[in-house]
Amino acid sequence: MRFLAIVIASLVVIATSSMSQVRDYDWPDIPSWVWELSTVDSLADYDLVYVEWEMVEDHRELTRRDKVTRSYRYRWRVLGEQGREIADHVISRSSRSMKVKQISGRVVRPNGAVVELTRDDLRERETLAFGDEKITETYVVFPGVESDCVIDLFWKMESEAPLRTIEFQADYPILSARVVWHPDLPNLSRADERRRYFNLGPRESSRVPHYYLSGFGEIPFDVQEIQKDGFLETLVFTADQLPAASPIDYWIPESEQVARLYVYYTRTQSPHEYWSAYSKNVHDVRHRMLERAPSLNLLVESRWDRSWPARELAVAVNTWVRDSIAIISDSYVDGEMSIHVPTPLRLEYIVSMRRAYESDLTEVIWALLQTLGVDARLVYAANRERRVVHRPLKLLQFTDFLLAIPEPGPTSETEEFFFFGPYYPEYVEGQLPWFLENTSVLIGGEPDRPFRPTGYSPSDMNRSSTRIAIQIDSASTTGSLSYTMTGHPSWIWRMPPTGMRDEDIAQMAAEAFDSLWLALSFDSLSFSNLSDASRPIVFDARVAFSEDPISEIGGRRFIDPATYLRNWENPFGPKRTKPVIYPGTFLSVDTVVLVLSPDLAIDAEEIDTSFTNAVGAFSLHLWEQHDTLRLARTVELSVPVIDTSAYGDLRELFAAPLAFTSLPLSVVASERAP
Amino acid sequence: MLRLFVVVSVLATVLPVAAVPDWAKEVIAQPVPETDFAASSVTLFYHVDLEVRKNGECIRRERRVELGLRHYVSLTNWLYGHQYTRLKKAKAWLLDGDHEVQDRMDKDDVIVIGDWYDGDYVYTDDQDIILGWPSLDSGSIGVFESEMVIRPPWSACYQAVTIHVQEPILRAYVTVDLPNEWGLSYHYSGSATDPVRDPAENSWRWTFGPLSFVPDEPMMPDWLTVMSVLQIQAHDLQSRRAELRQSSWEAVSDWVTSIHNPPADPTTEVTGIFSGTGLDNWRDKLQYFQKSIRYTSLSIGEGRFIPRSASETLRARFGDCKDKAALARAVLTYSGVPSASVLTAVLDPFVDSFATPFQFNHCIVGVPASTLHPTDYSPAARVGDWVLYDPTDESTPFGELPPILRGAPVLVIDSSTTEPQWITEPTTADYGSNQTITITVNERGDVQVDGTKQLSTLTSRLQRYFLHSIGPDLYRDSALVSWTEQGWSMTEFVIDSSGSEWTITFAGFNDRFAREMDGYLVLPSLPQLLVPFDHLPDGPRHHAIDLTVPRESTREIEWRLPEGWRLSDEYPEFSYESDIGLLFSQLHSTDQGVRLSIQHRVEGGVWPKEWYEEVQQLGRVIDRVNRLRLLLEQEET
Repeated sequence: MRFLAIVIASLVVIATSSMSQVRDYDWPDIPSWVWELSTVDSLADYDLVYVEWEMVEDHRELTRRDKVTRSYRYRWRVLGEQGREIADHVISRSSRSMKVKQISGRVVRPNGAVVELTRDDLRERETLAFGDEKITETYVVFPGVESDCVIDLFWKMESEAPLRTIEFQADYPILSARVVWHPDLPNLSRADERRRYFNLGPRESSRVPHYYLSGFGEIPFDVQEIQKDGFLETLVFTADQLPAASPIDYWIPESEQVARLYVYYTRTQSPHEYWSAYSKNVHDVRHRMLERAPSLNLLVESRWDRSWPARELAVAVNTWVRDSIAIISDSYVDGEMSIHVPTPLRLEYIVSMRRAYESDLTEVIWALLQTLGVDARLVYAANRERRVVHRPLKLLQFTDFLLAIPEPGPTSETEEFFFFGPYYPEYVEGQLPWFLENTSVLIGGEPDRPFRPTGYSPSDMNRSSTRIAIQIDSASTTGSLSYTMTGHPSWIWRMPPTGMRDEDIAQMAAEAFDSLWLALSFDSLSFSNLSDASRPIVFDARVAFSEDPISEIGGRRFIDPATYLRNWENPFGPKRTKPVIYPGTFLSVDTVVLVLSPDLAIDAEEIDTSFTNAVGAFSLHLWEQHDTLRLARTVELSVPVIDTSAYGDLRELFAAPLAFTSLPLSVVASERAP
Repeated sequence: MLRLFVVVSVLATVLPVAAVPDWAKEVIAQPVPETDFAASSVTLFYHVDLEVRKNGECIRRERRVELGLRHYVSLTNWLYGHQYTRLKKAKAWLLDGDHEVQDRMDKDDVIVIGDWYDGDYVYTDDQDIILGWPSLDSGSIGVFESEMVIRPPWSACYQAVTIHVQEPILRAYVTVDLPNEWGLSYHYSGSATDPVRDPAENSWRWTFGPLSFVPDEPMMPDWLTVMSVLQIQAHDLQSRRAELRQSSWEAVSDWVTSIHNPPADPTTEVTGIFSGTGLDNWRDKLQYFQKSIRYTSLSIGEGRFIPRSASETLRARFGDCKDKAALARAVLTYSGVPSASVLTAVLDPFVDSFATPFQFNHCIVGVPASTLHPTDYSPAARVGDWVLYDPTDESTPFGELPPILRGAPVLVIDSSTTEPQWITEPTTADYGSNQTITITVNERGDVQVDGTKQLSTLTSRLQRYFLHSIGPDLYRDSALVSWTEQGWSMTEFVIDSSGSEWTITFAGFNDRFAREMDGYLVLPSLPQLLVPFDHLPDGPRHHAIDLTVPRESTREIEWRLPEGWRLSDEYPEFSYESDIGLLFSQLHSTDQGVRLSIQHRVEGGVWPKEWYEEVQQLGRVIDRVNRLRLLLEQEET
């Protein structure tokens, strides 16, 4: 009987799962103007518009029940055939920590007819499972959708994890956006509970939530603070006319261009205070660990001399750690969090057993240098795709964990630190790793100025040059190519993934080159100086010509040497509202030498054109020299951050090479007179 | 309890990593021959054992040993509809170059990822099950064992084993064990030994390999048609369940009839909707539903094969191909027009001799031709005694066939069906276009372009489909992209879609397009006159060449030159002609300047690799025409 009761109880639980929670909802009226949106000019390019986007986040029961409730309400107006196709919705959640408590929806047609969402219109499935972690998706497929209808959707869920960041949908415009936030009220607040959820940064907690808006640009966002009994009870954020996202290339990361609202519980009043505290804490916490590892002294005394210059010690310790400590595995925690969590292994254990997680190596180098009396700093940086944005609660935007020692730096803007780290063994004198250029890094132990802008290396440090020699006679064309690179291009090649063979790198090079030069196909490819950072990497190739370089036009033979230059693209259109942040400076020098057989003669008009503007320089020179025809092209970008006022110069620079490839740069060769 | 936990924990820390099974040790002990440099990994051993039980349940056991040759190797990955399949066992071992076990995984380490088809609007319950290491260094070895139970089928007892895609395989086996009296049909798309059958045990065994690395090549056929897959379908002719008797196309048709006919019943919800609409003609009724029911597929569970009822589709106003076909058939029945459900395979490989419903990926409708007047439909829409209609394609009305279905196999679900039939392949004339362009040049080099493009019926239909799919703005942008990318400003783009053959009119300008050089005026090449072939490098060719759809076009481009300028000298004709197609271009003077006439035809289809040089040659001539530049000189005064 007891067993039967358990079975029945289980069935009741199953029956009340989220799939059954389709309920009625008291929808607000649809104003008549909503039906007229299809005639609004500013929406003519859209197939769908969010008339209302509302979210309510309720933390009032957080401390007592470890639960928050969260609800969303959308009202869409479908504006055409395409909008009809996209009017479904997917609710994604953690199966373990989130439960859908209610889903309501309806479709309203212009004639007032209503089609209610039913349980049959929902489908649920697991889309990701790994160990105990499972993600479930509920597909809400609306019935009765037509090309001119209004769709209402409301759903409510219960979650163990409070939201800190609200990202507004960005695919379509939102006419009215509203976020209601009920914070954890004072009488429910226990410091230890709060810390569990919110205090990734400073240790002090506060009863007052703070908020931060990003990505809204010039859109006015109204904030209303509603108080009750002297405490903040509700925050209401409202905005009208949020446009659909239109990502801007070569600027801050696309993900940062979307409208976001951050709400966080902390005493800190500003992002600066948040990061300032983090910079201090990260340094202090590691120092406390150091105090518990006195035997490091023995190691450093036996290996290094404290009297060495700081940079020499830094490089020596870095090299020793990199080469001497075996890696257990990547990390003991997942993803980017690994660089923020101190190692659970004792430092003494690591240096005596010579075993560590890969993510520990930076910390070990730091500890050894501190023991040696070198003022090394921990540094958090992000790769270029995830450029750092100075906002709180965004620890996971960092992808790289390395070190720095204060000293005059190599480039104009970084005259304060020398950067190094265990994962990037190649140091090019005078140059930062490419991912550190022209960005911000967070430096430990610098609470007054936690972020430092890094500079960029001069263009001649990022030089790539090609020399193509081509032998042409009446019947065949052969040639060779040499490609040399220094600086940023070479970083890519000097940091191959672990375990790659030289042949693999050559294969990668061949594939990469194949896309650079459409006119060539590679018969053989070799490279040199790959592991010698002091010398430029040189790729040498024997090439075949996949495009016929000679055109017969009007009885003359046209040879277009520009055909053999690397593909060039101009990604910059006529309009620009934001500055351009290009990955770095560059200097591209390309030379083509055409050697003609004795039965051919050159009849070429010399070209000598060049210009220099605010962002760089371009030159193209075509001349005849003995029995050869030579083409030299130089493109130099000397400034990687370009304000809108200099945008025209940037366009001019990138357009110039195209003008000599898409437009005819032709020289006439005719049969030499006998 | 705590004590027990501690004991277990201690044991867990001192016990060695479980050794690899003996079968894997034998494999690893064998010498590995030299493999193709381009390969990322080599499968040393692969065995799939399929055990079919009397109720149709299938146990699928797999064993695999893989040797990493470079970084980043994904080791194992299965796809299945999770409502039917249960993963019973999964084990994996990672060995280093000295064959020492470095790591071990089991079922708890499996990652399951829901798989999607076609992005939005198609919801399935397919899942990828992944067990493996994200990276495998050169020389490392992965060993895998798994066992899955596939529920007794309600569709057909079918399994597909992908033997070979790209990476090399030394040895592979597939074994199938059937209950007594059961039969087996199969098809293998690559080269393998014929299966060895043991009649006493009713078991089958295929042997594969060694199979070499297969390179990627431009203009190669789709990998789906190139990779080697063994498909099997077990059947029990004595079974009372129709889904287990599918040993022939008739049997497949019988089974599909049983699941497709009931949903196509013209209920009162369906018939009632037309009152007061003024839709008297059954064609209008079909078109009404074709357009008003949006495409959304819930291919979850039995919804993969069984259509929703016409009434339900009507209520929901959405459905997938089979739902829309059932609704269309309900309308036809209500209108007194007989019809049949029709299964087809769009763009996927298809084998006539292997009868299984799993070869199809689309559902349409057939109407007996005898009930229609020949002028009611395009001949291309007819297959045998049936006129085909696709309710899913909102841009193609009854009587016409979506271009994508041309050349596809169909199985008409009717009692007279004995085998699949094939829709007529398109011809070069079906995909045709004629373009006339006038380009007016002034002495500064500024140019004005005015042009019209006429499209054949099938090309127009294809464009109509694109236009419908992506909307007018994107369509315009994509149509003009080759002009605008090269600096042209387009001022006009008008589609006359009133007839079945479209006419597009466009206009634009480009300042300083022509350049003066050494006293000459050089007219650069125009944006992509002809669709170029992919870059086809020299060297040995492994794959056949896919020339896609047959197509032909003419281009008439007239340059109106500034007064006092003329074409410098005579220009050569570019020509090419062979079985794969032709290209002929000729320049001649006109009163106002120069005219370029181009005729172009590509036969389409997949050609044996022996034709590679011919395709290269045609590609080069296309490039020459596309790169044609004209040299103008001033007439002598």
